[in-house]
Order: sequence, then C-alpha cells, then structure tokens
Amino acid sequence: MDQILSDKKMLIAEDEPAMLSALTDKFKREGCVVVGAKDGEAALDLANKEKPDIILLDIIMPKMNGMDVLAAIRAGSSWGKNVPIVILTNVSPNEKIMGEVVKDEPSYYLIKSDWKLYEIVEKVQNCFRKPAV
Amino acid sequence: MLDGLAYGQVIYDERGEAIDYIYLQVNKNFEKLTGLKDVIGKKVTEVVTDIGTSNPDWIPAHGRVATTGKPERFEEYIAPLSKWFFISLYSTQKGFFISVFQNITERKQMEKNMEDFKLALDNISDNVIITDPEGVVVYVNKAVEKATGYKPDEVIGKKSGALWKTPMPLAYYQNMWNVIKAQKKVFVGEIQNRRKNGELYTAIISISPVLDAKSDVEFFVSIERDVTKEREVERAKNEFLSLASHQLRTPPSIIGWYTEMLQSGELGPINEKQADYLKEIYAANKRMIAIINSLLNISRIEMGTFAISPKEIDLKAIVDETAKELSSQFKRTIIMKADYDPSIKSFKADPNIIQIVIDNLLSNAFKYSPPENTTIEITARVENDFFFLSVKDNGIGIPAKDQARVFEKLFRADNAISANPDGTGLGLYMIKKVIVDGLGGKIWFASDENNGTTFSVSLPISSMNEKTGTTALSQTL
Repeated sequence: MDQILSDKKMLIAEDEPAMLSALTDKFKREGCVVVGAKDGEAALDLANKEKPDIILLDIIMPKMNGMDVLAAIRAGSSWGKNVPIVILTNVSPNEKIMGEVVKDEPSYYLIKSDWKLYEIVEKVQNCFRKPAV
Repeated sequence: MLDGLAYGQVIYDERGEAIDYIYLQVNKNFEKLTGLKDVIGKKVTEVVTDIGTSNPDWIPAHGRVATTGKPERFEEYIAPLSKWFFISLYSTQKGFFISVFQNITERKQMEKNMEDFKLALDNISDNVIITDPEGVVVYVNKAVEKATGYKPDEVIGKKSGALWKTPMPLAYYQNMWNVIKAQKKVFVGEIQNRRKNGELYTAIISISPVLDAKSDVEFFVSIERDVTKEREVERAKNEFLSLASHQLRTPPSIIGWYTEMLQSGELGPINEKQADYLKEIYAANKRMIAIINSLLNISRIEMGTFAISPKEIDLKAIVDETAKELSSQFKRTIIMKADYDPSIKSFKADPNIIQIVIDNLLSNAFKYSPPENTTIEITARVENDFFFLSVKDNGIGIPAKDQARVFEKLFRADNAISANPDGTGLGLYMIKKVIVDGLGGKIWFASDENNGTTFSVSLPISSMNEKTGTTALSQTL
C-alpha cells in the first residue's frame, strides 16, 4: 500500500452522515488523521484552526456552502492559498461554479457518484505527489 | 389661393327656414376641390341632389349664418361626393353667405388609418413605443401602461431613457444606439427596464429605425415582449434540476462506496457468494447512476441550457481510453480498427459532448457484439465543413421491425434486452437530441439482424461554437 498518505491531516466537510463515515473510514485506513465538519461554518473554523494537509469539500452544506468556504480559505492566508482542496460533490458544474473554480483553484472537482473510493484515494495521493506550486 | 370659395344666396320658405341656396360665384378651385362643374346660377339641391338626406344640417347651417351673421366652421363628409371638407361660413349681408373650404379627405383617411393602426397596436400585448430620433417618446400603445404603470401622458414628450432609468450597463446602450442610429439597423436584444414603481422587468426588445425619403431617421419603433415570467420559470427549472440532480445522486453514491469497501476485502475476507451478490448490488447501483445522469442530460438538452466549449480534441485518445474502460467493464478484448483522417485535427469540439457520443456508440458496439472475434471499426474525417464519424460492429444488429424505433426514449429491441438486460433505453435518444437538436447535426445507421450495425454521425463545424449554457452535460458511462 502506498504510504504517501500516512499521518497526513485531512479535513472532510460533508453534511451527509453516511458519506462522512465512508470517507473517514477509508482515509483512516490509508493512514490519514481525519477530522470532520458537518456544515460550512464548522469546516472553515476547523480549517483555520487545524490547518490540515488536505481538505475534501462538499458543496451543498448547511450554514455556508462549499464554494464560499473554498473562497474564504483561499483568501484567508498563505496556507489557505496553497492547501490542496478536493471538491467532492453531486452538483454538476455550472457557469457560476466554474467561474469560482477558475478563481479559487481546487485540486479536483469530482462528482461523487462518478468515482469509486479507491479512485478518490488516488487523486488525493496525486495531490501529494505534485510539486508544491 | 388653395382654398375653395363660394358665394351664394339662401332661399327661405314661408316660416323662414332655409331650404336651399343658389351659387352666385365660385372660384377656380371650387371645381377642383368638389368635382362639381358649372354650378353658377344653380341651386345646391340641383347640383348635389341628395344633399338634404345625406347632410341634413348642410342647408340649415348656411341659412343660420346668412341670417345671424355669426360665422360657423365645421368638418363635414359629403357622401354624394365621397369627400371630406373643412368649411368656414361667413356672412356680410343678410341672406347671403361666403364659404371658404378645403378638401380634407386625405387627412381624414390618414387619421382613420392611424385610428385603425392604434386600435391594432392597442390590441397586441407587446409594448409598442415610438420615439423621435433623439429617443423622445411620441406614441405608446395601451400595453405600455399595463406593463410599466406609466400613463401615456406621463410618457409622451419624455426621453425613454429617463423613464426606464437605464438599469443595463453603459456599453449596452452605447451599442444599441450605435446599431439603430449610426448603422440605421434593427437592434434585437434582451433588456431590463424599470416599471414606474421601480420594479425591474426583463423583455426581448426590437428597435427599428424608420427612415424618411432622404434615409435619415424619422422615428424609432420599439417593440418589447415581457419575458420576466419565462425567465423566472427557466431559472426555477434550472434550480430544480440542480437540486434534483444533487438529491438523486446522493443515495447511490453512498451505496456505491460502501459496496466498494465490502468488495475490496478491506473489512475482512468475503466468500464467493458474498462477492457475487455485492457485484449485483454494485452493477444495479451503477445503472441507476447512469439513468439519473441520462435523465439530467435530457432535461438540459430539452431546455437548451447545456454549455458548449470547443477545444482541440484528441479523438484517438478519447476512443482508446473509452475502449479500454469498456474492455475492463465487459471483460473482453475487442479488436479496434481505427481510420482517422488527418483532416480531423482541425475539428475543434466540446470534449464533453464528443465523449458522450463516443461513450454511447462504442458501448453499444461492445454490448451487442459477439463474445469472440469482435471487431469494431471507427472512421472519422472532416469534409465540406462537416465532421463525420462512424462506428461499425459485427454484432447482433437491429431487427428490421425495430429499426424505426431505436431513437425513441426508453425503447429497447428484444434482442438487445436479451444480450444486455441492463441498458437504460436512453442512450440513443439522448445523443440524437444532443446531435440533432443541440448541434444541428445528423445521426443515422445501417443494420442487419445478426450481421452488425454501423452508426454514423455528421456535425456541422459551425455547430461547435462557444455557447454559454448554464451547465455542462454529465457523463453517463
């Protein structure tokens, strides 16, 4: 098993409990230290407090949606500008979202129902294989 | 002098009522304006025999003026002559009158035409606004008051910009004035204006310059159709689709991930039967996701709201990638023969759309091909501003009796269902909608039962122009 995710701190922002559990379990098995947030405000708080190495971000969430969280993290600090963020959502990209994607540069925009967990793991691993920009 | 002149003497009865008059003098214009010849010395009842019935107040009016000396001016339609006149009657000597008159038939006709025109305009529901070359309103139809809350007298004489309070960006109005005034062309666009109460409304507007004989702008005629409601409905539909897509995809995503984790053995070994059952669950779940994505695509295609972003595409890479995925999905290797004409390098296309078309045509070819000796041939070329693609298999083919229906929503031929029970029946319907309705292209096929099928697609190059839509289409494999 690839050890690249060993001990990496991951924040998962996901309001659907079953999905949060599945992702948490999977990435814990990959060696990550996982913290979860069930709404956008909690996600932003936790991100700024914990400064995780990687963030999995849902879009549709209570209190604050994922695209706003993304923008806030990117604008917040130099850590925020560079932290890899994977958007994991079931909302198809529209014009507005694509505009924000171009501006805030998540590492990936993935439709949950299109990807297997092991493929998402691979994409997260890729985030640590890439040279930091 | 352009007016007609007549000098006459009134004839009274015993009671002093005017019953006739004699023309004593008329000028040269009299005949020109009335069409009556040689009237001097004649009574009006001789010259216009029906005057008493057609215009019962005609003679009495002359009588009044001749008696009282008080002038009268009026418009009158003389039916026997089919003409309108404007008459001024004077008297300087009791019993005698002087009549100065103009033929106003033409003006009257124009006024009637205007009335008919206004009636027609008032009956249409679109807003019609006519302005002078500077944008000052000269006419509004009834619909304008209904739509904007402005009464005609609040609007006529004012500059249209001041009324709608110009909510669009400056560049919009600059462009509009350039088209209608500088280029003297018709401007069509979507615009937002403000009602009297401050509310914004959205309209499709067309402004036409009306030119005079010297080709200078005489008026601008603007016709507006209020589409606020339609835009609302569209926006609501789009939002609903986004919400529905999100809600519909959530449970199958959950099912997929948990099944995957069980299948992988990472929670402990599973026996063969368990693995089989999990496979069934996973496959059914994948089917559901494919159906949801197809339905979403179809909704977007039917609403015309999908986006097109043409880029340079590597068709060979797309086909090879898709074939690889299909090979692993169907667990067989298929011989792919490809013939890509170099001309396709120039074809820029939206990769999303091309992927969906290739996915569908290739997966059909795979699904319905024999388990051994399977060859699929792909050809692609650009010719005469069209992009041509064809996919040929040597599989089960489409029976003649079903060929007319393969593009129908949810239709599946019997032999297809036997070969592949999992199909959605939406693939061909969806790509036909994209290709034909969305891009103005064609899709057709040739097939013989048990002897394979060839599907062909043609796309006009111009169809792959940048089109901003609200959402990209979803993948369905």
